[in-house]
Amino acid sequence: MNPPNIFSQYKSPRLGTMVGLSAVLHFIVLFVFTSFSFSIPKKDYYYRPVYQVDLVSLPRQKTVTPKEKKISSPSKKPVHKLVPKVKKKVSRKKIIKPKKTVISKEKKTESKKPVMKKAEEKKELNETDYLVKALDRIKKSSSKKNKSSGQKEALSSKIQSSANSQYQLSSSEYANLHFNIYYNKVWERIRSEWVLPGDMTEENWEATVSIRISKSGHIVDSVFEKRSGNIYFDQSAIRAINKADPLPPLPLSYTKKYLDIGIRFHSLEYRNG
Amino acid sequence: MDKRIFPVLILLILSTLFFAKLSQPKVYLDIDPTVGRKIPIAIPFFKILQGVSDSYKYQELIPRILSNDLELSGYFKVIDPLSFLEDPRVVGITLDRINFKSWATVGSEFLITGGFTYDAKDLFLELRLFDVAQGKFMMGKRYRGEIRDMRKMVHRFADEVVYKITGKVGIFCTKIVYVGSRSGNKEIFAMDFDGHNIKQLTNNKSISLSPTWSPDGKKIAYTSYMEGNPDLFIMDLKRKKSLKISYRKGLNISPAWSPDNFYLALTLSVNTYPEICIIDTNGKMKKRLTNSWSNDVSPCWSPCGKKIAFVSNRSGSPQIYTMDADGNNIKRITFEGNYNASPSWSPTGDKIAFSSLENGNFDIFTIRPDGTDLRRLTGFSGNNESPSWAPDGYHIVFSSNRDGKYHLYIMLANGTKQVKITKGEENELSPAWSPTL
Repeated sequence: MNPPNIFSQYKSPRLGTMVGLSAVLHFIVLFVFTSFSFSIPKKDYYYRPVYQVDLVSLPRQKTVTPKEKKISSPSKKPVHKLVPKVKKKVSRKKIIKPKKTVISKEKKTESKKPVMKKAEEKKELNETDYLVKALDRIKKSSSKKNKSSGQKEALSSKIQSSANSQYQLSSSEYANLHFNIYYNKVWERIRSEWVLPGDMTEENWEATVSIRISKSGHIVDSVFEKRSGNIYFDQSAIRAINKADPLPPLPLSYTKKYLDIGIRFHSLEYRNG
Repeated sequence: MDKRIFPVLILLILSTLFFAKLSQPKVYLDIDPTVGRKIPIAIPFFKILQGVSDSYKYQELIPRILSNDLELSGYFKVIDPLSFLEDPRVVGITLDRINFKSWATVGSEFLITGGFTYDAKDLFLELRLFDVAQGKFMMGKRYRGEIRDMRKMVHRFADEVVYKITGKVGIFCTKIVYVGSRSGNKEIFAMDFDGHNIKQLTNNKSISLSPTWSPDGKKIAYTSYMEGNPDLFIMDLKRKKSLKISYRKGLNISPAWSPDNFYLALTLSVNTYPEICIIDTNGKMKKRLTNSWSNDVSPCWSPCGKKIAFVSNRSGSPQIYTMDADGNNIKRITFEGNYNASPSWSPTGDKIAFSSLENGNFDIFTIRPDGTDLRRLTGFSGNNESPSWAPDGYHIVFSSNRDGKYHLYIMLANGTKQVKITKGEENELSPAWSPTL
């Protein structure tokens, strides 16, 4: 005679309760953790300053077929050296500080390319347009690549094929490109509007304002995350943000309704590291 | 496994994903200021609220005085009125009438509107400051006075504007005294900081030199040769009367008032050599500070009153030295150049301005009291001498002959924005900026 299966009697309800309880506990823990991390977001989510604006340039060349080498050889030049991959970041701090000089460098390298010289229209496109087009090309990638046949091909499709075959960026990387351009624009816009109230070189004041940007680029809300302790400095920061409103519209790839970013104002020249 | 587990698991996974999405890192942009940018401010013509026929000239004159003040402050950039899209004289000068967008379009951060009533004698001024960026009213003032006090009223409002926006004390109500040549003599004159409202203080028909302010702004000490010997006088500005304080044999020159208002440091000829001494305001000797076989002249006090800077040629050439207010701890601070003179200690205490002879011309420099951080403020423009600090520690007045004769100029403490403020035909020398009055 088999012994009575005591487990069969109690197993299901107990396990179910336990899992349910565990789920609730997990939920609570997660909730507490996330809400706590919201209250101190700054320290956790700074990134080391990165010159990310360079990512605007043509995609990195990974493997080059002999045929394509002619077209893309100038792009070996140093543009990409300044472009760190997101993954390479050592610390979790992320501070985007684009530099104007970077853009001019990029223009220089572009002008060296024979292809670009001929295709003048391409030059006139701004960075965003260029990227949107590049995204489209990637979608069409493989079929066109096979069809492309040597010298008589249109110059623009040469760029396509070279770009496509060289480096396939994932969609998240492209989203990053969009955002880096966007942050660059926001940075320039707010900086161009900001005027220090008088001579403040004696002490380094710092204020952080958190702004919420709507899809159309309007600043719908702004709050101080950290006041500098100098009301005149804080007021100048608020004025700069008010003057910069509206900012450029959010990148199309951004699906949410709002984007929250923090702006840190420094009264002295900000130096990396 | 029990089927009931699945919904719970799904809920768990979804909630995890939800929170993971929420806790994406937030991006921070670091912004540093553009060097040298000034606060853009718009000051349109003032509105005549009520007035007699010749009022119209003031609608342009009063804003011009105000604009000049704010430009000279070094903090503001006054926007060209030609670019304005709106005229408050037509639209109105109060908050409900102002269209901030049109002022923001022309690039201004602040707007000052004004209205006035003038009845050929009295002037009633009504001034408002608006924050264009935030679209709000910041401050309003009303002034009433005789028309001759018009500049004073405007200066006072300019002080308020600077304080409201930058937190700094304005200098628009301060004065400058200086030595002016007139009919062969040298007399002491006083004027507003912007070069207007010049008044002759002495009429000794002699040579009067090196005027200096008392810290309370009520008196001036100066040296005059009116009785043959260079004696020290103190003038009460209210009563316009001078009193002879120190008339020791030989030099009684280059006075400097102590910050506590009770004593004067000056140069006296003791035993043939000029030495720095301290006397009280009645002329009684308190202490002799230097004792060397050299010329020790031009003392000036640090703002805390614990130190004195002076010029001495004990090393062979005139150089700037500092010492404690009791004469101890003498230290040379200038080592560049062969002729450094007329030190002036900044009210903030961190700099000493002086003039230095270089390539045949005097130029103005600043240096820290410990002898570091030497900086040139003027250059390639004739002689620039006798610097004196404004009470805000941000402006310096000096005398320069870059246009032929010596005239007075003011500049910012970093040497920028050098503006000529006097237009006389004679030489104007050794200016001294008043404390806040």
